[in-house]
Amino acid sequence: MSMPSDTPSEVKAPRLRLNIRLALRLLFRDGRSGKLNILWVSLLLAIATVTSISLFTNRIQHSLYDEASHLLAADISISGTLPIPEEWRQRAQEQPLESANFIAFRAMVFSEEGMQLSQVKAVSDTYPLKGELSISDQPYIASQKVKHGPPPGVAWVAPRLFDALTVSTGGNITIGEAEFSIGASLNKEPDNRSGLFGGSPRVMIHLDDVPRTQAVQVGSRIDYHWLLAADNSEIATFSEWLEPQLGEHHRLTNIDSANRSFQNTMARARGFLLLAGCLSVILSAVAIALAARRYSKGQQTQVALLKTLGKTPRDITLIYIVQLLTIGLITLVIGSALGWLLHELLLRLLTGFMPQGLSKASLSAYWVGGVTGFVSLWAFAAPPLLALRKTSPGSILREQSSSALHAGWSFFIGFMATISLVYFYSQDIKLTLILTFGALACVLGVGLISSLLIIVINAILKRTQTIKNDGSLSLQLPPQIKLGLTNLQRHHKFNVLQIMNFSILFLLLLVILTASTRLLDQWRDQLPPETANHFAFNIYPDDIEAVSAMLSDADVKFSPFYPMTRGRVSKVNEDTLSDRVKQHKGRANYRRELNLTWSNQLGSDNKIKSGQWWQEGEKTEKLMVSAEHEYAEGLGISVGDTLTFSIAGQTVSAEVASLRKVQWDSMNPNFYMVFNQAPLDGATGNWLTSFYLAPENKNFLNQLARTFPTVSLIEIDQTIKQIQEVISKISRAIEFIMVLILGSGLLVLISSIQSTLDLRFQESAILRTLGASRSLVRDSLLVEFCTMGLLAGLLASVGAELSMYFLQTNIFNLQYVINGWAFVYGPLSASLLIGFTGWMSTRKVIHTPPLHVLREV
Amino acid sequence: MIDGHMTMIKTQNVQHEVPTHGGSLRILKGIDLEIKPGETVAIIGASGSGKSTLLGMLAGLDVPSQGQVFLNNCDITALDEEGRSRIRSQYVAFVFQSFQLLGSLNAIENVMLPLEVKGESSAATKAMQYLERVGLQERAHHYPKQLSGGEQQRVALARAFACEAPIIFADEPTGNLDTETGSKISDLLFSMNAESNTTLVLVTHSPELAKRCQRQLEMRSGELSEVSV
Repeated sequence: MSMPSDTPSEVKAPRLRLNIRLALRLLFRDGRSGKLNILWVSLLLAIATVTSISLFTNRIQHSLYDEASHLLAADISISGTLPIPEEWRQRAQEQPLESANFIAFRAMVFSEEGMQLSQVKAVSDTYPLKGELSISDQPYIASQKVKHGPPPGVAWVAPRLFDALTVSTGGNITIGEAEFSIGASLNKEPDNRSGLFGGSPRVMIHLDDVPRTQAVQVGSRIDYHWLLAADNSEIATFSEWLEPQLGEHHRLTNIDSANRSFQNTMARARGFLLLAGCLSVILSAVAIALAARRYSKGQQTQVALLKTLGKTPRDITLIYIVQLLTIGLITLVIGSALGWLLHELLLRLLTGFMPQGLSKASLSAYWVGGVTGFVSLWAFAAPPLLALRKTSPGSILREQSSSALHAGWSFFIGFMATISLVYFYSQDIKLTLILTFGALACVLGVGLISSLLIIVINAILKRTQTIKNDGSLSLQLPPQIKLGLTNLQRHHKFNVLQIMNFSILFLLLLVILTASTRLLDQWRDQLPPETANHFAFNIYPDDIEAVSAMLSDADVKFSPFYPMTRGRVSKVNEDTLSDRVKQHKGRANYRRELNLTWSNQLGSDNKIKSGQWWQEGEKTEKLMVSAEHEYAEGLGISVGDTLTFSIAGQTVSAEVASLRKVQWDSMNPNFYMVFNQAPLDGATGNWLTSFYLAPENKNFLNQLARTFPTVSLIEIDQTIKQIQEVISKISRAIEFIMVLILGSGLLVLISSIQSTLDLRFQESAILRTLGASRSLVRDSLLVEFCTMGLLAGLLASVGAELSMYFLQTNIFNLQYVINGWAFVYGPLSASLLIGFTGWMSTRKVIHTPPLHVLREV
Repeated sequence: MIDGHMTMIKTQNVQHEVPTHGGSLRILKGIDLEIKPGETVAIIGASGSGKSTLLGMLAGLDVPSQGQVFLNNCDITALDEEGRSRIRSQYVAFVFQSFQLLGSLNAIENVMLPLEVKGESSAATKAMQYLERVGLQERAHHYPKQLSGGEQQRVALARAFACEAPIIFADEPTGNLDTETGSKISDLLFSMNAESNTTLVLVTHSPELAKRCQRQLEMRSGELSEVSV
């Protein structure tokens, strides 16, 4: 006889089409019978959750970015003491970029009743490019938002000026030679980041009115600002072109460098959102892995049968590839749509809590969920399903289940896929590594420890038997406890895997819970309600006592006084500053003047990163300096280097004694350079302090300004309010996301408990046929589940605290404080949850005749 | 084409060993066997004597450690799994002790499965004809869970004959059924076999079932001997 050909005569369709048709038919039938339900649900849930979280977080991130650009009133700002060169303007027009201009100068503002040195800001029609101005008819009342500044002839003045000049809206003021009608109280500017010498109250006029005032003369100190906005790539191209030409007179500020305190807040917000997203990705992967394992187990008989019917291993592979592709595509479409709906629903539910008019999500946010689902499907479901091609057709005769894929390989593939997904999602190698090694340590550690714990249980059980025999103190356990513990010990390997599974799921849940409570609390606490919101500087040494007395009398909390002078770094060792900037490609503007101070005490929000802080009272002839570490890194400065400063026209050198990490968002006075003594002989400098003033006490500023006319004041209460608003909005959003993830995590936990019930059902049914009472079976199962929960909870708590330590110290830059209670409520809640779910699921075995259970299992 | 003068199944010195904790266990010890087309053969023997293992080897579900198995003169031991699959699709059908119906498929879909595997365009019509032959046309849309043991085995018989293969291997076809149902199933099996003129190789414990076959072979400790009927 001849060998059978590839296409026997009875085969009416080509092999490929035949297999595709068979694959789809089998899939449809599996779907109809409910076999695929768990896989469908976990895939849909995974794609929908990740898509919704990704859309939600992406839109919030974009809004944060927009909000940050509002702080600059533009995407970038070029400012300087000389007018902006025409060549730059032309280039910007060619690109084209949106632009606005303003100039700022100090001038005396007069009314009939008084006068006040003010900071005048003369703005063009298009100012601000981003964000809005807040004005009101009267000072200190609710504001309305407007898109642009005042028209020519009108001045908007800071609330404080109404009192200081004894004027009201509609009244007149004079700036230089020009008269202006007061149009409104100017309550908020998007870019009000008053530099340290911009402490006088604000008056905003139109740019066209400047010549009329004649206040700007040759030699006047004027700051020219040029604001630009466009999409990111346009801005990047322009910045790249402009930066080398900036020179000493101009500086470029972008969103990141606009406001350091805000930048930290934003970075943490991004970190939280990223963590939430990553955790949802991991949970989804776990859910899909569990569902896929169950599904592929159920496919073994089908494969063996198909093989007896003549399907080749190649056919089997093709059939499962077609099925996986179909499942993947269907869930991708439906899951993404569900995710979009869910995120819309979230936004509706959160109306009023979230920033209004959230920005659009980027396109990538739409497919992050789909990619997660698709990759998880191929990483977790494909290996065991595709390995079914090796199923021996003979296994159908012996009714044995053969695991065609080595568990180690499954784990490896799944683990690598999860890491790739987390990296794909976060694009953050550090976060990915922390989560990877954390997870690896957990898997290994938990496996080892749970083995040990079961050995201990075994020992306890043996003890209850042996002690009885030699007549000594017998440790009697009630039968249900003994049976429960025996079960636990009997399925040693299976239970170690179970406990590992539960612990890791519980660990994720605990991290989510802890992150949403502890981290957010700490974050909010960083700017406690009475954070200093005003700075007073230019305080003469002789006035320190009087100023502090006035603050104390008014019951105002204030920080210590710091001396302050201005100066530039001119040399690092023998290198000129320009050389260093070129060598190290530092991005900050190092040529600008810095605020310098000297102190014996290290600020509470400063930490020494390298070198040593000088001891209090340590007298040294040598001038020493402590530099802020990021600034130092940008210029390649290290401890022991010599810095040359140019201060008030004089040159002084100081040795770098230490590098400090400064918490800029503490709102305390902080400096790039702190000397150990006054850098110039006999220089006492001006002094500086910060204090908290409640909104209703704002008038105190006027009293202070009148009593000490030379003292300059900066109001940063609006900036603090903005940061607090962002923190509170983001906290709410994150809490909501965490609840969502927590919900899906619990579902995964419950389904993983249920997936392991078959074996227990079978044994319990056998016990019942042997005459065990319902209560004995129920209680022993309860003991077994609660003990497993207790062990898993204990391990998860340890793992969660370790993860929190790394997350808090490495990702969020927050202080780690151990929470002892976590080791109590972790194991207890895990025990209760797993015990309860197990008990609920085993009701079937208690109330159904044992024969039915045995038939179904 | 099947040549009526040739052997349908032939083995030469088939031996099989499986690894155990202490070394290896010889399950089949030099089996030589010839079965002609259309013959009905029963393999009897005690539990664990190697009957089902031999059945698996004869059907190409497994490969012996040594020796050769020929199906219609083709040495299936020389083929890889892909090749054996193709042989099975053309020559072999099965009836199992525990029915092995797919739970997610109803009765007619279970019978349609081999026809769909072959790409038959009129799978549903043919499957219904076979279900009628086993008297289950009324229960065509019931799932295995909703059928009794006897009904499930009738569906399995319909599925096996729907393969329209020249050989049917039956592994304890009545082993999971009571005597009365078992006897009905064996009646059905033999009558369908006679109608289709297929070669039937069955493994059984039941002397009654074995007696209905033309030949009886006994497995004893891995060795096969002809029982004179």
